[in-house]
Amino acid sequence: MTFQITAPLLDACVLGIVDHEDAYGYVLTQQFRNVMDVSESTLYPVLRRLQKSGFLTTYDRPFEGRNRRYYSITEEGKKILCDYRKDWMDYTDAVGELLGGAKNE
Amino acid sequence: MNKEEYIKELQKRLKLLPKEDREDAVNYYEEFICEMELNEGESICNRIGTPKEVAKAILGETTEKQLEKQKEKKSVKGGAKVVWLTILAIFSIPILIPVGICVWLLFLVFGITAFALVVAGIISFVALFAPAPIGQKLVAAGVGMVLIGLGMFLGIGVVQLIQLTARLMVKIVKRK
Repeated sequence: MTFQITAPLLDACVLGIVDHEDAYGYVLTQQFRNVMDVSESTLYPVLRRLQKSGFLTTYDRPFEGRNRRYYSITEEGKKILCDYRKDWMDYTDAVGELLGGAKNE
Repeated sequence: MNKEEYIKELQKRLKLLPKEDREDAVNYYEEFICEMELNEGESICNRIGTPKEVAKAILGETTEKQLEKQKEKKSVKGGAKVVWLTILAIFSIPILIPVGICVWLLFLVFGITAFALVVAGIISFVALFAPAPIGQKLVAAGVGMVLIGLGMFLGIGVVQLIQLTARLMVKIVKRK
């Protein structure tokens, strides 16, 4: 991909995914990899950071004799996701205009 | 290197982390490897990265966090330092005044002593005119001259000390 993804954007996307539905590490990574080129080990530090900041909580669910650790968004997480979404909209609107996109009315 | 060895290696490289962080990380990657149905070390390394790389990413994140925390602590400490300095400054004002008074009194005592020495010397010198044997007159005159000399020496010293102290005090007051 031409454009680089930054740490806050990774945070925001993870929160966006789990806001829709709780997910475990592997599935999260696959969802990212469908869209952009991230390595398999990119997400763990992000998840851990979000968890320690109180934006994500985890719970285990047994699967085939082992556990899957699910990540789910907290109220705090929802709040910050809201800010992220707003910032992202502003940013993409502004960049879109610069690129001479659809906004020339 | 098979899966177990991979996990062991990762554990070893995360030794420095708190137990809870280490277990969380290892569990995550163990789960991940299971999900990917990888069993051979080589394919694990190719897909996820070598234990060294994975550990580096985790440690990087953690140490960054710790650095931030340390910075916060430091700034709190810095705040404490300012508080201490303020307290010291408040206390040093009442302390400085008595100390100053003592120093000036000491100078006054030295000054008076110097003056007294000179006066005593002059009086001894006056003995020259008293009716007495020439030997005693000369001794008295000699002692008088020594006393005047000592008095003047002390006087000059006191004047210089006063000048020095005055300059120092002005400097201290200005700095505040």
